[in-house]
Amino acid sequence: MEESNYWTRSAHGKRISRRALLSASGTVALGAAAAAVVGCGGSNGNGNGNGGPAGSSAPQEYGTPVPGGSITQGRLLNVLGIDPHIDLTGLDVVTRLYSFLYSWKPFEEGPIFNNFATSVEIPSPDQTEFIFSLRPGVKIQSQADNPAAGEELNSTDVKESWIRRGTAITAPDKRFPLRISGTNSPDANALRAALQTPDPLTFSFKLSKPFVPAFREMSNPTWAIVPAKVIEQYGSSFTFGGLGQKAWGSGPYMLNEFRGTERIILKRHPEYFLNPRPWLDEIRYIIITEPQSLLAAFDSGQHDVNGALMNRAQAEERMKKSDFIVKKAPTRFYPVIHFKTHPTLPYSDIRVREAFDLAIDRDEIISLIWDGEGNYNGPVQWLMARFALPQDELRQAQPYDPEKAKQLLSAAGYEGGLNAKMKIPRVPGAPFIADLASLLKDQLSKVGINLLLDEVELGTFIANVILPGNFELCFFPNLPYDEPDRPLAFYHTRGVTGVGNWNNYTNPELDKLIDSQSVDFDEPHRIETILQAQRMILKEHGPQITMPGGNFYAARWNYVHVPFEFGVDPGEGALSDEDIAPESADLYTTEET
Amino acid sequence: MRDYIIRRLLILIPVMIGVSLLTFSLFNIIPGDACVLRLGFGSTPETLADCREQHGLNDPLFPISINSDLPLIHLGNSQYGDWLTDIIVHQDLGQSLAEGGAEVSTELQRRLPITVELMIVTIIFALLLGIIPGMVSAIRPNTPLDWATRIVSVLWLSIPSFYLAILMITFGLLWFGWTPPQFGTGYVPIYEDPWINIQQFFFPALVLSVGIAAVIMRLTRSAMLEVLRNDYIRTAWSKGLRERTVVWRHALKNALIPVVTLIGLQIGALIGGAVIIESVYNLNGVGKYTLEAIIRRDLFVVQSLTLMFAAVYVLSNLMVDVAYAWLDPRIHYN
Amino acid sequence: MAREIALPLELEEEQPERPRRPRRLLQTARRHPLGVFGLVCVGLLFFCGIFADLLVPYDPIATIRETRTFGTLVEAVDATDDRLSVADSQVEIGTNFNIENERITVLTVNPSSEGATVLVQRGSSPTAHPAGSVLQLETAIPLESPSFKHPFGTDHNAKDVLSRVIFGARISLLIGIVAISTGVTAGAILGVISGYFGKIIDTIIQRGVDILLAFPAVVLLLAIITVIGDEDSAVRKFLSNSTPLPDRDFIGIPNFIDVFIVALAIGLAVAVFTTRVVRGAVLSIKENVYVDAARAMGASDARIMMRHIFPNVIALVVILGSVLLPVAILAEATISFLGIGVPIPTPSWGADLSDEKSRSLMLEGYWWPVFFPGFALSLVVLGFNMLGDAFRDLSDPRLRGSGLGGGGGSGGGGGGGGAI
Repeated sequence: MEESNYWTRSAHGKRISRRALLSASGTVALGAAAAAVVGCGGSNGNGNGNGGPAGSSAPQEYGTPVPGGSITQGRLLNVLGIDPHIDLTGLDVVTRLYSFLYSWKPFEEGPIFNNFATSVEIPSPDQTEFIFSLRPGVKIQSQADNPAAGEELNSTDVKESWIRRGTAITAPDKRFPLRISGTNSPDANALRAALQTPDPLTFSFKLSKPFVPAFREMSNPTWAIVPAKVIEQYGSSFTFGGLGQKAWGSGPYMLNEFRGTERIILKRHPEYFLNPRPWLDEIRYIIITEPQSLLAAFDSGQHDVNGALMNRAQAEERMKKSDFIVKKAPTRFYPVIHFKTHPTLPYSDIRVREAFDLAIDRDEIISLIWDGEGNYNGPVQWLMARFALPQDELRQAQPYDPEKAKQLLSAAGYEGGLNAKMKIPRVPGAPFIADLASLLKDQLSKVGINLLLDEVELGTFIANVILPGNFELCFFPNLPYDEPDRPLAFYHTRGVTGVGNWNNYTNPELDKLIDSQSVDFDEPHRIETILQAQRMILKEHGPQITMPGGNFYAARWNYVHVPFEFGVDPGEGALSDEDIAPESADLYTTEET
Repeated sequence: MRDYIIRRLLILIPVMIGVSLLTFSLFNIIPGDACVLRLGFGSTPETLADCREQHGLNDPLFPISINSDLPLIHLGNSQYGDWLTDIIVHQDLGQSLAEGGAEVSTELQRRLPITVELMIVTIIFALLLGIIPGMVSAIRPNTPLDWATRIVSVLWLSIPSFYLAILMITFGLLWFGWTPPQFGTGYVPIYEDPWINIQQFFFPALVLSVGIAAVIMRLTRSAMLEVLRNDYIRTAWSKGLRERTVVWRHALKNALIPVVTLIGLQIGALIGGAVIIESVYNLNGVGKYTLEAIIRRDLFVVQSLTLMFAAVYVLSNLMVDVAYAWLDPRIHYN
Repeated sequence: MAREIALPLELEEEQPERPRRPRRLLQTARRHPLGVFGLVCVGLLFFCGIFADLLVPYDPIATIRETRTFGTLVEAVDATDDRLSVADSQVEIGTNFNIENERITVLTVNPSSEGATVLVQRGSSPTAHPAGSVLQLETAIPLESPSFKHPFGTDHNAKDVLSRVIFGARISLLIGIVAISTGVTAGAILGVISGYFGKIIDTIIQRGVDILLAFPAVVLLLAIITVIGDEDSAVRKFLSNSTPLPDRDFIGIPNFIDVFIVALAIGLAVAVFTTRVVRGAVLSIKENVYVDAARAMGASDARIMMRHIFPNVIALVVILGSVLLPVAILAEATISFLGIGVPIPTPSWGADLSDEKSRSLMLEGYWWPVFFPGFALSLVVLGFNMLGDAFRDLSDPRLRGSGLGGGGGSGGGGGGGGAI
């Protein structure tokens, strides 16, 4: 029996079943409305067996689904629009309204073909060609104003959706569609030529260059399949009453009412291809923008699934009550300090950056901000199990040594102290940002770094601080992504937007490593390259230094049933991979109304 | 009097124009615009230019042109000019930039009843909680009841409404397991389900009203004391009228004059308080809408809302002055 | 003539001999207990605000840490040892502690005769440690309930609430005084100019005042603070470069200029209100006989303003300032509550009231981080109200208990929480 020690207990991906990692319908997806925003992509929370309470009492048996009933889900943040190709604030709602090609097992390598595609053929080893076989009988919803009402989804719908998505102006990551069209900027005609629909149930395309994240990317909610006729009639981006406020899809639920700042009501799609699912007649979202009020409403039973992120103290209180089921999930974003490594700034000196790194007491961050449960992050966050560096290596690379930090600062010429100014965003629903910045200020002051905090509204922060690189230091919770390619892109000279990283940092050797892993389909080899790149970055102590991430808890009332809980081995007789329906079609409730 | 009212109403126009110009200018100085906020991480120079073009944010701001062919002030082809034309000629308040183009007028129509109801219920509570204790206090001055009422009223006066709201929500849940019902269902109009509607507005209005109630109480008390000392009251006493008649028919009516003017003056404070209380109690009224719109840089929404607030302010001042003159025959306006 | 009339009246009233001053004060105090209470509260505000540095038991923005011990080394270790023998061991897997300056992490724990043998990861610059070295760690202590050491407890960031409340007094007082003094001065000057010169200047200024008064206060403040507070704004650059005001870290306030800017914004609102009031007063003063006389004698406008108008206005302005001070304090608390006021981590009462995590934790029973700042705020407003009442009682006994003045400033403050 292996000695149980600190490292093995917190190591990643050891004994969790692949099934339990699925979260397409998990509790976290239910409760992670707020997390969905800071984790654009909504439904892919993930967990693994970190030490500590995993939830209340025994795992809930899925049992036999009971049709009928309604679930109300609380939400902290307003939904500004539900256009799947454009809006990012309502992606968890989008996944319930539309069909997708397939679902993805997060942080694993495989798709689950429980949606529109039944299988995929990838002829070449460098994955430059994809041929999807599509499922017949996926009925489109029948609304009165739906031009495609009652028809079946086909390959043209996929094609038109992809063209729309590939040329959408809000898409944060355009590399995938650019590889399809083979152009340097979004080109609808080139896309149209590249996407093939040989028959109504086959969809295929070729990439101009290999792109490892492609397979994962296609299951992202922003690639929702919208019927071609709907796109033609309602697809123009900024018109009111179009796809931003209404939905004509083929997913398990239909949009009944959309008031993005008050409530959203979804009703059952009676002709969903996985009939008799979905079991629920209705899903309601209620939006309460005050966290305290949201939590109070949940406690008194006004909604069934909590939307606010709870911390440990709150979770433990509720675990004591048998009415609630509380599940832990790791936070998907990871806190990062960005340095601007411009030659006129002190942060171009590696000694200064290393001093910062050494002066941050990451263990205290875990104990104070994350309530004692958390893990170190490297350039690739720990959540990405096999792509991340092991915890012991991360700890050794990111020690706490304020004495050495002081010496380094002296050597760099800042013996009397260093005045630093750090910009941070104000994000409603994420109070940990301000708390962590405050703690950093305190920790850094012990080595003579006087940190001045400058809090900026989130929208302004993105547009005026991060994207133009208008900062000396800034602090940001980096958005998660299930593919290591994206977090590594931050360190690349081209950055994530392609126009240059906003830290002014360039390292040709690192660029080479990052470029090579993005076309490497030999996974073990790719993993090696990625780890090597991370080690290089850690030695540079910049241009970003990462801090530990923790967990949050999601709660629901015990009459809400989900097909599985993550972090818990489902055991015998559980639903198999292929039995699980996509996004929330398996939910049911036993609440007596 | 009629001329006076007309003159006051005419002042409304330059004030409204001034308010709209000020809002407009401020908005264009504040960093960030609706496109930047909507696009978020998708903001690149090209996408921003595209979005701004679509929303007309690239047009010149003001309808003043210094060069060439166009007259000095022309109303077309400028953002402010277009907006002004839309409002006056088409009665079109514009569209929300953040919510994908929802009509501002529709949104206002949905939210206004909530705030109006909040205001009305607040005023009713304030009157009840203020006038009755005030009367009681004045009739029995310097008794323990009087002292208790006065101390309590100063307490109400001093606790900020948002603090009171937080305390009530917290201890409501901790001690009684109760939360306001609007958290689960959203606004229910009074004609649909009166009982739930009353529950939804009860506590927010209560919290908002206590401060004003305290002032009304003190005012009522002092005004009534003043009046009760007056000669004609003593005459009524000596004629043997019952206490209740004296109090109700003579003292109270006169004491109400300053109360009425006070309510009018407090409307500004009420609006300010409504913004916070609506947020805390999750009532989707105009106050909460204003705050959100500013944060989202939703220009047309904010323009319309500030115009509305300005109009309410000016009109309420006018109503107070008119009511004052009407109630107190000694006052004349020319 | 006057004397003849006065005499009989004097005899009628039979004035008692006036007691000496201290006794008179005591008598006054006894007759107005609430006023005394108000005076104490306001006095407390000033006292805490001015002497905050001396009064705070801890640094209000620093994380409170306590030393925890985990045991002692039984045997000496050198820089390369990764097995330690620990007595009185309180270590578990994952515990971090320091020996001297070295941070050590526990990997495995095996009980032994003395306590435990632990396998550890050494720090980045390991050194030798003698036997008997203490294993300790400065640990942050969040959410401590109120106790002798922390009378108001600590909040979820491990900051001492009492220190934050005391320091909050300084912030409120600073902002209040700066707002009032700048606002009332600017407002008085504008009001005098407007009232004295009349006609076009008056119309322009009064329309401007109308427009600004018609704006909802919160919107106006938010806009002004955002515009002025932006790092590239002209006002900020002026304040930074051309005035001796420090950018940061002054009298314990980390972002000093930002706080100052908030005060200026509130001052603007105060100025608008003051202008209107002062103008009204000037209009009536202008009608005075001696002003006409002065003008007839050929005095210049400036001279008239200086010698006749201003002195009379000053008294009014001082009263106005004292009435508006609690309003300004409440205004700062309100906008900080909405998140648009003072920057983090300034210990403002309003900001502490709105802290998300603190408010959510209240539902678990951790009431003190939110309760005490709010209580302090209420107490300050209460104090001003009672003091104001007492002054009015003293100056005009007929208005005793009327609280008429309360309707203007602080009444609106309590009721709306945002009345300016």
